[in-house]
Amino acid sequence: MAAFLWRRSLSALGLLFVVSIVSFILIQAPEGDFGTHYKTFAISQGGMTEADAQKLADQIRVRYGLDQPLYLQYLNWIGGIVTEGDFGQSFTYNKPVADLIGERLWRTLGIALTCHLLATLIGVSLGIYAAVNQHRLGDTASTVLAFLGMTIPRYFMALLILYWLAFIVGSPYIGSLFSPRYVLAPWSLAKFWDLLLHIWPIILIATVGGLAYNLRVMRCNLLDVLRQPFIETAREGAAGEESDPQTRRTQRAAPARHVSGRHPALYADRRAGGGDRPERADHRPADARHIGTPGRVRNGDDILVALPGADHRQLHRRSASGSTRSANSHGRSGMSTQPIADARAGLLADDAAPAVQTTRSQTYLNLVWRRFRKNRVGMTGGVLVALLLLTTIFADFLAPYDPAQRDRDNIYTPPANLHFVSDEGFHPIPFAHPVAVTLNPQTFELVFTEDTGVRCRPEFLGKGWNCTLFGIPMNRHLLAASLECPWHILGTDRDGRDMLSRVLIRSQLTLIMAGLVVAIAVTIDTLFGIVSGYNGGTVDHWLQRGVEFILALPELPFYFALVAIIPRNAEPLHVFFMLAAILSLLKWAQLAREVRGKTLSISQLDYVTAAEAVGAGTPRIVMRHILPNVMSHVVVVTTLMIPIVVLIESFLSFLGLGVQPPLVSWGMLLNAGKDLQNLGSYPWVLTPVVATLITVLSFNMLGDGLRDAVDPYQH
Amino acid sequence: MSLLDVKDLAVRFKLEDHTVEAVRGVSFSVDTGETLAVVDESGSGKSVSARAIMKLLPRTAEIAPETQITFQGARIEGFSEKRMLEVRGARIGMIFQEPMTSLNPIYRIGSQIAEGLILHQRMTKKQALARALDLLKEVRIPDPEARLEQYPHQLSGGQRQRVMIAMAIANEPELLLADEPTTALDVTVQAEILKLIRGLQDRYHMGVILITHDLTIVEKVSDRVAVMRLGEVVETGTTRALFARPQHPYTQKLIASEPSGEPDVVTSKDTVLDVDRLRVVYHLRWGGMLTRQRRELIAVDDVGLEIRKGETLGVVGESGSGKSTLGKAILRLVHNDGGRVAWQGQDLQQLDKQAMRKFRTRLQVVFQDPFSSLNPRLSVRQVIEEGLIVNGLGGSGCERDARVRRGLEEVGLDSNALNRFPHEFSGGQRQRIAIARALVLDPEFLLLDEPTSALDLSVQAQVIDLLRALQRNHGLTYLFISHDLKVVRALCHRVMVMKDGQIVEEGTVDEVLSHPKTDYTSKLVTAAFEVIA
Repeated sequence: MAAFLWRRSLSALGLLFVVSIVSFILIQAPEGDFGTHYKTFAISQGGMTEADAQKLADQIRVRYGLDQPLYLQYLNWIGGIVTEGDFGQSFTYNKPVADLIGERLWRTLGIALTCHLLATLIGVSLGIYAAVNQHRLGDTASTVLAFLGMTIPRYFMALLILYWLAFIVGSPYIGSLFSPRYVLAPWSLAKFWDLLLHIWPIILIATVGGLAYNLRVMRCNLLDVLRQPFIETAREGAAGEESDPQTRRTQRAAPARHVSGRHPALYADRRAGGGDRPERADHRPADARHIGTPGRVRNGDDILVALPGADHRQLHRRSASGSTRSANSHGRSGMSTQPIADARAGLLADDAAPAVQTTRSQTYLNLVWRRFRKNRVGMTGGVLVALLLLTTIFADFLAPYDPAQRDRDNIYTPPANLHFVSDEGFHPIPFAHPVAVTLNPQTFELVFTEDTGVRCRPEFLGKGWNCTLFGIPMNRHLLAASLECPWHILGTDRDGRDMLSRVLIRSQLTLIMAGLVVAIAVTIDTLFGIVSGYNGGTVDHWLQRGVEFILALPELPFYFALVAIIPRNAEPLHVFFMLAAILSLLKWAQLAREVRGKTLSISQLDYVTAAEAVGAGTPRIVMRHILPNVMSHVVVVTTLMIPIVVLIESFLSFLGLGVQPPLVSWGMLLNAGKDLQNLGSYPWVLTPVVATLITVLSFNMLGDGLRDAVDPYQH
Repeated sequence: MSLLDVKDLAVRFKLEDHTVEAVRGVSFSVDTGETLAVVDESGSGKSVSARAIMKLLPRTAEIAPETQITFQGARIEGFSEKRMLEVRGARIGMIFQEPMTSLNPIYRIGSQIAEGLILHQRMTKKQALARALDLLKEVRIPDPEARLEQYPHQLSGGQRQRVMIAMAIANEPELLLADEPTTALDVTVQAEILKLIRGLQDRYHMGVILITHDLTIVEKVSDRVAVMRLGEVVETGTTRALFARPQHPYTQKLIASEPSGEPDVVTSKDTVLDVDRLRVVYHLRWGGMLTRQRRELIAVDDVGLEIRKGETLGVVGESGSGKSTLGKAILRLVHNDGGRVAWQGQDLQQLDKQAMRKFRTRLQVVFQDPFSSLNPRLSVRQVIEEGLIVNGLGGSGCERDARVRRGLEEVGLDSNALNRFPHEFSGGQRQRIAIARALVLDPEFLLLDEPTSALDLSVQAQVIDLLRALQRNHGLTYLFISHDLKVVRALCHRVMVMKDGQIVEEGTVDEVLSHPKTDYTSKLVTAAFEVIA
């Protein structure tokens, strides 16, 4: 054990060293240094001449050693840290960096630990609850909670809570750790309470994501464990205690859906007609025996005690095959369906060997579809994704306004109230009244007044702004509204641009970005993963070290650092592509590892050996035997990766680090909501988030359903 | 009155849109001190019946109202869960098939056995552990004191099964349900476990219900037999009577499908395959960059063999003895670390990948597991014609198609199977497809790596017949790898016994099976043909 810890710490040190070099280089990469900063400062604030300022900057460079070559600077820096714990001086705070870090370290650690603890405690308990009550209300509720928790971007949650606190509750506790009178006060219960009042949104937001993840992992691990024979042994061997009615329901695991979905052969035979009848009958007991495995558990203790074993197994499986199946959503266990194998080879099976009649064969896609169709969550996701893609493709046609058209008269118009019914009767296309915005001279509040005398209605398939669809210029739109008579159902932004049109059109850039990143990452992954997994040896070794390095990088800081390298004055299109490149660079590693694991396990299967035995060469084996079987997995990961990229992109753009205008993505639209003041007055600027949420949620749902469906054989 | 009397047992599974009857109208009884074997090929409801007695069925299953289960005069089928707890474990013990997963991996052996004792007999922890030690001694685990403190993963499969038995008899039950207790174990271990159960039965005067598919075990161990088929009992009777005069056609067929017959006599004198001092070493490596550790595992240790044209050489041994690796090394499907393999005088070891390809069509292979040996994404046609395509054989598409069809016919499959996918076939059918894949290349030599061990008995008999017929028609030479001596006797001319990568004995099948020279071989022979000596 000691040796193990020692080894791990050593390798951690090595990794830290590499990370320190990389971060140092990244920080140096953007143009300019403190000297340049100081120079501009001196010129603009101190009124110095160019030459004097230059001299001053040079002096500063000499003082801080910024004129030395990069490696010397690095050695200085790292030497100070290692020998004296000296991290240098902060230019911003004018204090030693070590002090600054030290001051914040404890608070950060405290918050992190609290969040982690809460996420573990609540997540695990909810996970147990969900697993034990599988397919009941509590389970469904916690699954929905988990989905939302993993889907809603943290920054958006923060915005919502802040908005709620600031404008609805009017909470005074925003933006600091303590109320003024407690800042310098010694610790007391009152001060602690004050701290809690300030800090709970942070803890809440940081906890939710981890909680959701824990919940899902716990639930599906536990479902796996509950199916283990040793649970049955425990049931069989031990008794005497009143069994808890709650836990007894556990055995509702593996419902009918599970059985019928799992054994496509059952269906194949059912269609095969009379000749196969006895064989089909042979399945039943096998099925029965299979679902017979999940056992009841005596009481809650048993479940808890079973955990470490589960974790271990799970980890083991993950490291062995790199498969995401371990995080399988519905906890369908990876248990083999060997019994059916035995059953199928039943006595009469071979009597009927020469099939009597031609049957329609179930191809792989058929089987996947058969399983997928039964998954309600997955189907919903699929439909949503399809709608989303259609909307994106026909965004120009659907947008009522030109998204770039500014309108001074309609700045920050709130979402219009739509009316379907008037004194003239029912209108299939609802109308809206123009809104006049005035400022209340006393309270400085904005007052919106509807001009009910005028009815604005867009024209169905009318002529509107000029756009191109598939390269064909056109000006017909589904609903064409005019500027003169505004019809902004989602309101307008600070330039009077129609939010709905902007959200619609911006979906294109967001999805293109996601598609591009995922396409690049997946291509690299599949290539590396297969090469690494099939060839093994040295290539594999070094590719895996590379993967480990990328995985070890702290994600967010590296995005920032990398984004900082992009020159500020670059073309927006270049920025877009560079951003895509950065995102792909940091996203490929995880999947590469999974593909490798999958390849490794497939290349050990007998059919690959058999292909070798008939004389097939490596290219053929890879293309025909390994790739198709790996692809199903890749498709799933791709689906699940798109929402991740959408989220990161929106977050970076939200911070103003993403794509640059005139290119606009959803995150970019959200940028307007960063200012709390703005948000308070014009909350509708947050609508792009809803679009992001729908996208992320639907792709996640689709991916989840696919993951359960892509492996219909499971032998 | 019997110890346990089951009448009209029926179990139904509620599936999504319909109900499936797993067993129906099953009746049998077992007396104190008696062994009832419930036999059938896998998956015909025998396990479900056993679980129904213990009420260990999943929620989707329900026991039909007409069922009567009488245990020691009490009707237990309607027992509540609470009352069942007093029966289960205390008065009826159960042993499961899978000793690997039936023990909780995170508890020590001692406390797992003790758990049942503490709960049922209100013992203190100390008493329970002392009793656990006695039980471990009783199931004759070597070094029982140390085992108490060990975890399941530290024990071998056989030892784990002994622990399971210890747990099952801990409360001295009147009835023991053994659900395929030896299926997952090596043949030699099987015999010991069965002997142990027999001994314990005598000691505790237990009734035993032994669920199995292995007729040899049934014949040697049981007093009475119930034969099940498709969820129904088709025949019951005393073991002797049933084996002597099986009444039901299914039983007759089952008994007839024991591997039998002998291979044809070899006429040729030419040696086609000559293997000399073949050696395969695996280098195991683990640890990080600084603490790299290595170990060498010699899987095949200087093995030599010769096979004549048209001959079948059997290679037998327990799992892990290196027999599969030997086969793959001969075909160069794994690397080898020395030795010489000559096919009709041509040294295969010297050939590069390209040159080896010419020999691939002549030396073919059939694997053990018919499920992993066929790519699920390819249709049967694609599976079979792959060898023709990569070797440029069969000429035009039409000719190739004809060859594929001929190959399928030869293994007894209809040609409409061509466009179907592997998952639509049973294990036996899949194995036929795998054989067709090899045959279509017109090979001269077939490596058969346990081709029948994943199959049920009757299917196994058919595949053996098929292999024998193919050998006769094509003059094929076989290297037959197996752990099942009965199949070896039916198919092989000569046999080699392997242990730890080395050959311990070699000779004609008759010689080796009737006069084994080494202990290891005689243990294997005993296990295969006698079960309990």
